[in-house]
Amino acid sequence: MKVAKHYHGNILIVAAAGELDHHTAAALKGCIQEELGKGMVRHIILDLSGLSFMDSSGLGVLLGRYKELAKWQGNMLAFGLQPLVEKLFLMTGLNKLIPVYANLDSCLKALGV
Amino acid sequence: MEVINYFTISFPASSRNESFARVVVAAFAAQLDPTLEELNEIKTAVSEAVTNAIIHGYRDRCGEVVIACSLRQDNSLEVIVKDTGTGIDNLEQAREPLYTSRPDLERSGMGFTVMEEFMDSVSIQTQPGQGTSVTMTKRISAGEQGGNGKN
Repeated sequence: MKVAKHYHGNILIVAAAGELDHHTAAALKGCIQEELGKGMVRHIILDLSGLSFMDSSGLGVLLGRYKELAKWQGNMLAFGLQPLVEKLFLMTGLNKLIPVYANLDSCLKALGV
Repeated sequence: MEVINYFTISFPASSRNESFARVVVAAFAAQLDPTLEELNEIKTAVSEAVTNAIIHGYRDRCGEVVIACSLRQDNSLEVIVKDTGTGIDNLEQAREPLYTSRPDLERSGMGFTVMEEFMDSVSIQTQPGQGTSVTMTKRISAGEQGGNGKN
């Protein structure tokens, strides 16, 4: 699991690549929590284009960060989902909390940027 | 239904083996010529069952997970994931979507739901204090269009 992050203004963009399961969930959680701790993140956009595998442990960690962000009305959006990951999002209704877009531009547009 | 091939493996209940376990089962299931989608579904279901054994069965303590896998004449796969951990007190509750006994660990509570969605059948035998065994089957649409061509 590789996690990369950068900012677009106060929007944190996190790219998670590889396999997100119970074993690797801590790396993603740690990365996002570190940024949230700095107190300057308004919204988060997840770039999942490199994520080839995810199970319900991955859902748990994304849901956990979504809840953190919701405390100050921040939004979490995602783009680049591979078919398996998209299926999990739809099956569990996670897409209702973390809406899915085609690409980064449409995520930014949805946030009014 | 006649078994045409099988294997059994056991490994320590460590999270580092979650990826190993799902890849081994997927490699074995490839003999049935599944589509990439079917393979991914099998990998995900195995990952859920193995993660459950590690987190809930053994509560992150030492233990052994056993996977017994067989291929049947009717082009179906059976996967049994077994632990000798704590067992499940209330199975009906455990199978409910979004229920988790470990909210402290940010579990989504969707493990059994994912298994049921991705496999044709999921049955669970559990005995508090003795362990849990999850048996999953999936028929592969093989040989027809969409297979990956390996045989």
